[in-house]
Amino acid sequence: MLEDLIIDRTEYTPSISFSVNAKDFMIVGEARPENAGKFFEPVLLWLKNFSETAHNDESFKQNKSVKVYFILDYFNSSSIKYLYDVLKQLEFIKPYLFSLEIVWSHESSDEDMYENGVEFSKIIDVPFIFEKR
Amino acid sequence: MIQSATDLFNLYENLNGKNVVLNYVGLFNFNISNNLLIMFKKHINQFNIKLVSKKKLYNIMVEALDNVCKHNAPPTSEHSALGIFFLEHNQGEFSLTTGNLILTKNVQNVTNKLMLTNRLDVDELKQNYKDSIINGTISEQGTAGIGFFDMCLKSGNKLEYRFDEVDELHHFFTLKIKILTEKN
Repeated sequence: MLEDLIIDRTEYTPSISFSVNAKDFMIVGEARPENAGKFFEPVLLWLKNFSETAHNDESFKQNKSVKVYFILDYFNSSSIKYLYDVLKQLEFIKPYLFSLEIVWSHESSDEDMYENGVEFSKIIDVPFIFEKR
Repeated sequence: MIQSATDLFNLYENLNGKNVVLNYVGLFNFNISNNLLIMFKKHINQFNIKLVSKKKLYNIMVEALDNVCKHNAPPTSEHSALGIFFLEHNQGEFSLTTGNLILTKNVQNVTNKLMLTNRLDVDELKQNYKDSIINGTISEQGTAGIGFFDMCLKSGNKLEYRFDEVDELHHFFTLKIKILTEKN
C-alpha cells in the first residue's frame, strides 16, 4: 500500500497532501524552494508510484475520481518547470482512473496566476476547472 | 576595482537615485534572500498599489535574488561573495537593482541571454518561456533558465545591465529592472 505524502507548508514551499484513499489531492501555498528539484522529486516519485498502483488495480478505473487542487499564491521560474512535470505525470495517470480533474485556484485579481493555468490547460490533456478565491 | 562593501555602495551611488525602499549590501544566501522578501511584504503595504502590481514586484524580486544567490561567483581569498540589492520607488515606478560577482568566462553567456531577452517582443517572450518549460532542462544551479524572460514579461520593460571588470577572472554584474505599478 502506497503511503500518504504529507508535506507541511513553509514560507517558501507549499503543503502537499496526497493520499491513495483521498478524492482531493492538495498543493497549497508558495513555491520558491532553495532547491526546486529536492522539493519536487519526492512529489513526482509519489505520483509515479500512484500511477503504478492505479494501473495494477482495475477498481481505480471503475470508481476512483480525483480532483487535484493547485491553490498557489506564487511560484518561481525554477518551480514552474517541476509543476509542469507534476501536471504531465497527472496526464499519464488519467487513463487509469474513472475521472481526474485539475482545480486551478487563483486570487481574483491575480491575472498572471490565472494565465499560467490557462497556458498549462492548453498543453496538458486533463480537464481544468478555474476557481477564483 | 570592487573589493569591499564600500566600493559597492559607491558603485550604487553612481547608478541610482535616493528613494530607497529596501537595500542590502553583503553576503548573499537563501536565508538572506528570504528575509529580504519577508521585509518586502511588510514594506510594500505602505504603497497604495494594486495587488497584481505587488505580486509582479514580488515575482521579479524573487527571480532577481535567486539569480544573485545561484550565479554568484564562488568566493576566493581575494573576493568574498558580496552582492547588492536595492529597491527604489519614484512616483509609481519601482526600480530594482541587484549586483553580484560573476566569473569573466561567463560574461558573454549572460550577455547573450540578456540581449536575446531584450530583443524579443511580448509574444516571442511568452513563446520562449513556454518552450523552455516544455523542452528545457534544469541547470547545475537548479534553475530553469527562464528568469530573465520572466522578469522582462512581468515588468513590461527591457532589462538594464552592466559589467564592471574587477580583475582578470571576475566581473561585477549589475542588473536593473524598472516596474511600473498600478494604483488602487
